Amino acid sequence: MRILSLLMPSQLLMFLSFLFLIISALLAQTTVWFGLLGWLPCPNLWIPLFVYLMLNREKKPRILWFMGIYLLLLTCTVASAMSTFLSLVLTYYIIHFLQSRFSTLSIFDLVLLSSVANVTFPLTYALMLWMTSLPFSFDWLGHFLSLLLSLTIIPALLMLCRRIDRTFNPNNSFDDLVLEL
Amino acid sequence: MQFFRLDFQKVFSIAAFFAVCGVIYTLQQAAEPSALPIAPTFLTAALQPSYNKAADMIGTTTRQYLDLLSLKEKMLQTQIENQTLKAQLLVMEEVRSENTRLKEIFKLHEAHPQFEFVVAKVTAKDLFTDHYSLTISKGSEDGIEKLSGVITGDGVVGYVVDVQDHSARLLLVTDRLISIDSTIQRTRGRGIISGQSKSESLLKFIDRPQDMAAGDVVVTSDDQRMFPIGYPVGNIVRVQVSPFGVGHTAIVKPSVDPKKLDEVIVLKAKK
Repeated sequence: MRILSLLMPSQLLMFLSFLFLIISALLAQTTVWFGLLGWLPCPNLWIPLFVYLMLNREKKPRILWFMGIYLLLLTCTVASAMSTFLSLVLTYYIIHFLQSRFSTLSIFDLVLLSSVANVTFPLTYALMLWMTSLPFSFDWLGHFLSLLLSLTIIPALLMLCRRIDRTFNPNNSFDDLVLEL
Repeated sequence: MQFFRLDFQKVFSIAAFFAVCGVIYTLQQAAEPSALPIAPTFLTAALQPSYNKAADMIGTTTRQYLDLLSLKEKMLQTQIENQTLKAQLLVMEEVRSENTRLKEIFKLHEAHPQFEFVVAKVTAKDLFTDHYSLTISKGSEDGIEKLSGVITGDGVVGYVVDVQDHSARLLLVTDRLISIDSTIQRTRGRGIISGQSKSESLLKFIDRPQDMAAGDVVVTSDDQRMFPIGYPVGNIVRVQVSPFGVGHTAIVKPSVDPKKLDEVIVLKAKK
């Protein structure tokens, strides 16, 4: 790690770490889970990462991460680009609105917001699908199982994100807001 | 007087020597049944059967124990052999299953010579729960193109919507974004297949409700080059008559269960 930090600035290393984490989450969800458990609904591993980056980054990096995650999502689905974009925007505004209600942002709050995002994203996306003229069916059971499974993994993922942030950027101003459990 | 002066040490030594010899002789004689009639033989004779039984028991138990040890070792060896044979059997089953699949593909190839077949392995599913697409292990390097039809021996799976060098994404027949020109085999009524949920599709835009009934087989239409003509898509489960008198629909159960897909066949039109 030290050798790497000498070769590359910490910001770049942090960016690459989060990028790797997001790609790994997407591939774990689509490929590894599918290979091991088939069509059993899988936890949305990318949503906690999205929530963390949206709430712990300055405005410009936040927009870049938003677009980055959006484009990465599109590589793993046949979903409509516009519907996905609108769902992400709506989810972002919902979690941002809820976050503004909290005076501090602890890991517990992040877990709560990630859980909310896990509910709002599929619902907003379903709303987008419903608004089109194509046949629509919402897999309630699948989404519910996915949410339950997500709840088990969200804290670990958020801790990992925080660990990466602390490792590469100990002076992150947003990091001070995040309290220990 | 000097004559009677004896060296008692020597005398006792000689006496002791003869005594020992005598005892040895006596003992040797005692080995014979009637050597020493006063010996308490009845005591040993009474106890002997018990000791004999005990000796037998000890011997038997020891042998059984040794046999058990040997058996345990043999059992372990047998278990290992059993596991190996089971593993080999599984491999053989897999080979047999692959052989069956390849035979089906060969038959299909003979039946539809206008297509080249590319067999691909399913590697990933869609990220979103509401969409039904799969990623396969073959791409443009293997000659797969966008809108290539994808089938199995049982029926239509879907078609390719995105191609990379070594992978491709295919839209399943259950996805809401798919559209396949189809015909009802019995009545030749035509419609468009579109996905509805994870296990059902919709046959839309049927002109007349009398053209369709539950149980009818839906096949690919004659007027397209994506799939072989008349290839099974699914069976009608339920008919939904439109209140406006046009554009009737039917719920179709696809011939291929996407959950059981390991390999698919991508169709390439021969040039």
